Amino acid sequence: MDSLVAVEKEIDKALDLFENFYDGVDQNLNKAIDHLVSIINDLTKIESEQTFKLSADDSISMCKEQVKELIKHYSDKHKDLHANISKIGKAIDKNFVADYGNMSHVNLIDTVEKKMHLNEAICEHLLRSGHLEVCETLVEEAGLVKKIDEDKKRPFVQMNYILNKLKEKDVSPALEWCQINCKELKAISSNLEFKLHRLRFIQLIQQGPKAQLEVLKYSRNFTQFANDCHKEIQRLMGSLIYLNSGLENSPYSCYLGAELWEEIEEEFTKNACKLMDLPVECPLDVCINTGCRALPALVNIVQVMQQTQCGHILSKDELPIEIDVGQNYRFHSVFSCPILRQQTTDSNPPMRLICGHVISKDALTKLNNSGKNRIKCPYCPMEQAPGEAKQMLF
Amino acid sequence: MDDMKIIEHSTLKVPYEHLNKLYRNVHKTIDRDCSSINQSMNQIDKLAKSADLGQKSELLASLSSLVEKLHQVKKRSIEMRNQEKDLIEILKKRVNNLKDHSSSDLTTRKLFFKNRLDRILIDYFLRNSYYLSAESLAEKAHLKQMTNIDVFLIEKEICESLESRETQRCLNWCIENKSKLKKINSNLEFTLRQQEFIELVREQKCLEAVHHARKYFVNLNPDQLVDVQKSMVLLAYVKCSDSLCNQELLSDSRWTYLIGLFKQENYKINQIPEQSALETILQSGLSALKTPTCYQKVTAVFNHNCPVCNPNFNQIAKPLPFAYCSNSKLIDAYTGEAINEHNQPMMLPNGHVYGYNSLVKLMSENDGKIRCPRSKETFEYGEVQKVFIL
Repeated sequence: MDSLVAVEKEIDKALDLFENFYDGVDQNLNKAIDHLVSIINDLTKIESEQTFKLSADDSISMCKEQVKELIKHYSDKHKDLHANISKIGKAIDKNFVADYGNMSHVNLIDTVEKKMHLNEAICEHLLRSGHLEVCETLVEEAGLVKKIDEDKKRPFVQMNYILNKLKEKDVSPALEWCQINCKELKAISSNLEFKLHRLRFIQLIQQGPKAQLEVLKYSRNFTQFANDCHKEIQRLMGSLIYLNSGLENSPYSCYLGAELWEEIEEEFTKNACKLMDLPVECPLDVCINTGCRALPALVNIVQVMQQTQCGHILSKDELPIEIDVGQNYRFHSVFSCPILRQQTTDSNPPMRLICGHVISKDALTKLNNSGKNRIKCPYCPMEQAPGEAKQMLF
Repeated sequence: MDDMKIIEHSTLKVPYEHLNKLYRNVHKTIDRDCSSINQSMNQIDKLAKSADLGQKSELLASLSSLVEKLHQVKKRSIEMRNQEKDLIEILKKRVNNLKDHSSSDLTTRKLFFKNRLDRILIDYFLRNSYYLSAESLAEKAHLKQMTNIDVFLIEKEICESLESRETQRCLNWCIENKSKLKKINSNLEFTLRQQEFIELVREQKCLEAVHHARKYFVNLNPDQLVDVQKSMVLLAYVKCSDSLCNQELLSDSRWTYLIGLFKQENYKINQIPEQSALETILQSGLSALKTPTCYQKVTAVFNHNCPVCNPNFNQIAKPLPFAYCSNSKLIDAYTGEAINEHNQPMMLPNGHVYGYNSLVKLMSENDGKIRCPRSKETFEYGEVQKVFIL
């Protein structure tokens, strides 16, 4: 934030100075023009030779001074402004890192195939975020016509239509969709339909006493949820008391918040993606969010390593530092052998010893190098034969 | 150091460079105007010193023309004032937009990140010549002011002219940006002149080619001298078109090389980074998410949500390093929950490991027996063994 503040300071200073400069120039020009015009007027009136010569000489030398002053001010002061402009540039360079701090090492997208993969991933992102026309333009420009066809786009078209309607606070298309996919939604134990009914119910209550009959009729929709959500239904029916006076000053005002609508959009997207067998969050989004999180730490390391000359971090097998991606973005188990400090793989799986402790297969082999066929667990006094260790799958 | 400092440098630097360029042009105009006024004033002064009544009308005419000149200078200065002000305002707007990155309101922040991704995509589209997609997205997301589309549109024109084997536009651009190109020791202008020479030889206009060489191959550094020597050999072998040394110079790939060189120099003088933001960020992100499991055959656990397991990113992330992990971090393959001291790991007789919570869930769904979600075998609770992860 303070980086922005520093740059903004210089920008504001420059704006002020430019204002003052040009105001001054304007003033000087006006004065000079007026002066010259008055000289012209005076000289036009003069008929006598002598007065003319004197007058001309005098007034023009005076005027000459003024004009020379003006052009000096114009040129010199504008030159001075350059210092302020370069200060802006210096502030930007000081507070921001140029060229991504030399993070770019290899060309990540170096083959035509990889470019196609990336473009596909971008198309998926565009479809999910509702930019359908942009996706179509990209498909044409990037030559992906065969890969992204109508079948792939159709579910997204529908999803975006429903989302747009939800943005306009119209729940009916969403409800229709829920009723069509009722079975599947039940299978993933989703309460989306109930939440949609709830929003509609509150909408009707906000229409005031004239909607009373409609509200009561609508509440019949809650019967199918009686078992799962009875407490919530009780609360909702309680809010009817405020039908006349409005919910704003009642204990039920929490139902009027805009967050409920944002929540329902997210909930709908999640459920729709689950039903379409898609990941909950767009893969491109996840990568970019993680990347932005990881960049500062990685740029720091690159700067430090530049002095040691052991090659760029992206050319190695493993990153040099740990990046905390957050629990939400942990998709796989990672087992790090406590003895050899290596990640376990296909060829080096984790093994459970009889006592319950886990080490990697390589570590097990190392412990057995004495060939005695008895190994002792590194963490407890339990002994066993190496063959008794069991391979684990996380 | 936060991510904004790393990603947004060119967002602010590019309009700054435009401002600098405009400033220089404005100053040139101011100098021109000042010297012209000076000239007129000196003329009038001379006239006035030696004037008599007979030359009165001449004197008055010069004075009037000076007044006219001053009016024009005033008009120009107002124009330039607005131009300079506009560019500074653009800078200020971008700074204000970036402030949303640290906004205390969650919705504003979310919108900022969404816009940032759109900006990154627009930049990627422009670099890869998907101009229509870039413009379409910029319009839909209302981001036109925050992107550097104008720089790329100029680039598009010049690239198209180079593709149709025309060098004039690019040369004009070189002349416009002469001082900046000199600062970075650019070889672009020389390479363009060399290509013109090659084209003249190709059309067998040898005399013209020699004139061209005399005019433009001056003040050469050692590397350029070697290139000129090669080109001269071409002149000598102009009749035999299949000699080896000619192939390299006459090939079309030289034009592709020229286009690449132009793009490179264009980025440098506009302070645009060479690699796109998308690739840089993807590199870091994919690397931080990459685990051996994503690429295994036997122990693979395909997680739907993992981007690296996604078939598109799987290929892209292959050459990247794995994420570093100092302590084991386990998640349950059935529910995706974290496995830790609150959800202890348990091993089934087939070697598969699940968290305690998952076992409870599996037992409730299957009459107290545990059905392994992956191998479909059924076990009793008594067969489960505890595992200790340190």
